[in-house]
Amino acid sequence: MLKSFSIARFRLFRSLEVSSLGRVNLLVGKNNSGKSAFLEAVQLFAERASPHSLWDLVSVREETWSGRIEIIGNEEVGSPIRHLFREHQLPGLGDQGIVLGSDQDEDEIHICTVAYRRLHDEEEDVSRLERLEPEGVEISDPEVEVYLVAENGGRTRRLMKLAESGWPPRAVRMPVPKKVRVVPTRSMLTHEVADLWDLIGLTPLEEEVLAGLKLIDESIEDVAFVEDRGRGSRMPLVRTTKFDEPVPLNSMGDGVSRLFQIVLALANVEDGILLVDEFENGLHWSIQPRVWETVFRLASKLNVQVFATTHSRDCVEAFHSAWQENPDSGAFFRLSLDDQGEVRPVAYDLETLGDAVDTRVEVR
Amino acid sequence: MSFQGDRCAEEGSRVLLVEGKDDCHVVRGLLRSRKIERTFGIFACESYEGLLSRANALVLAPTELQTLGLVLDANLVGPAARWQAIRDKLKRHDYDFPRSLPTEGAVVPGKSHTPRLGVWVMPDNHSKGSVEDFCLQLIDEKDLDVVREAVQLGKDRKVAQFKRVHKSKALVHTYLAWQDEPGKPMGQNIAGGRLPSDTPTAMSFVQWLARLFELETSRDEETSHA
Repeated sequence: MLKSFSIARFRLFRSLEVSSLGRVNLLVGKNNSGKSAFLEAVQLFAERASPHSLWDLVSVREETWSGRIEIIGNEEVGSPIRHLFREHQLPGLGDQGIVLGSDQDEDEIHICTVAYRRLHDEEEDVSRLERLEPEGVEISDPEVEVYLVAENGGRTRRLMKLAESGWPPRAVRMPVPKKVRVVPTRSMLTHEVADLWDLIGLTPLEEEVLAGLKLIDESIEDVAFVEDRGRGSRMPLVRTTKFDEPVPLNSMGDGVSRLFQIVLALANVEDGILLVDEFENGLHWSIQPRVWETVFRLASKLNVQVFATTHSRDCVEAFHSAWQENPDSGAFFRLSLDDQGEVRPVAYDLETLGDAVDTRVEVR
Repeated sequence: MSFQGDRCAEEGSRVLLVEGKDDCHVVRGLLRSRKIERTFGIFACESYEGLLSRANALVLAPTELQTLGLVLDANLVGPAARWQAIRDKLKRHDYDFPRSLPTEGAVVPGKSHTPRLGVWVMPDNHSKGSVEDFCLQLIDEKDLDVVREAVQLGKDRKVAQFKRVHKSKALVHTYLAWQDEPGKPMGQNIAGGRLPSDTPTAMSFVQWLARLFELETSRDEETSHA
């Protein structure tokens, strides 16, 4: 579990450190204060900056268009990956790039650019890459290749070759196992939900997901995914005590779908991290306390660390009531922009958040 | 500076938190009587606990307060215990509190993202009491003696039912009941000049407000402080 987390030169963050994280963390902040970017940074860190996670992050924000071209040394580089870096610029050779770290020093990851020279061994018919010092690299040299790399504990992992035409670039290594699940602002795709269900169907976790759904609608008795022949995908149906025949889960309202996705994702990421952007979406205020109770309980049971964002005061109040029941498991903070436009975390302890809730003082 | 809506539920970047509406009106009355322009909002928290909670939450609020003043009563426990309670409540915010509450009221500088903090414990940062004890000091001694006798008579004859802790309140309200417009609040009597606002305690309180909120005060106010 991350006890603290630091971000440098990622997205809008110059340098940010949040200490005293909990098992279940809620972030607030105005638009563009970096809440979603914070979740992305956690994802990138937890997935050890895999090429797959880098690609995920830029494609989710529709940043895969090749916009402005930029220069490393004297070569044009139009990689969309640059959008992940502060000021949308890839670091030059030898420059500091994105640094993500936790309370464990050895976990720190540095994502930057490195130049290599490709050396050919004619006899063996193989080639290998020799790392070049950043000074004096001739990028126009056809034998020089620039890579995006992740450095960690003295080891360098090449993520992708830059300055190649076409996208996505050839990833150098494939991703690590799923340690992170993301519940996005809007709905997950139906096939993603179906896949998650398959992973826990017929396991004890299925009961947990059903119990979660009952928070919203007590009449729900069971869930099954069936082939939707028209669309060629599988859709969730629920059996309820109200109707004789099963009805589509999505017809039961946004709240049911949202809760289903949150609990399903949580149940599928044992020992990992759950990220929920705009937690409150679709959830009526009156059920939010019970949803948070479920999240706290399952997170503890499955050893999951949760990071969620919200814009909603109801959501903050509901989170607070669940935190009160689990005083050692929560953390709450706001990302604030200072006069210089730099992001600053403001952490609330349980008592102070309670005071703000009781006296209706703004926290967001 | 003008504020809309409830006159004792004002917000903004410079705020004075008081326990009750009476405190709110006394502060307003004092400033009006001394013709000092008020450049801060006043918020009545309805209780001592509510005041501490609100103060604690406001220090971190996203609006980033410039100045936060607290006016509390010390009717049961005395000012030293109140001062300690404030320090305990706000300990997480990294203020450099003086060890003891200065008799002229505390003004503690803020850090880069925390407001300047002022504390006044009624009546005078020194005695046990409340805003009513502060007000009693504004009433002419001879008049007050008559009120004391009347209230004592009420107690002796078992007409007066109030608890001991509320004695000052009973005295103030008895006095107010006898004025030209019976029952008119204390604050309005001060504002209207029917009660003095230049007793040593009142002057000291106004000077504390002036230091905290950087108010423009007249010359005699400054000299009396020196």
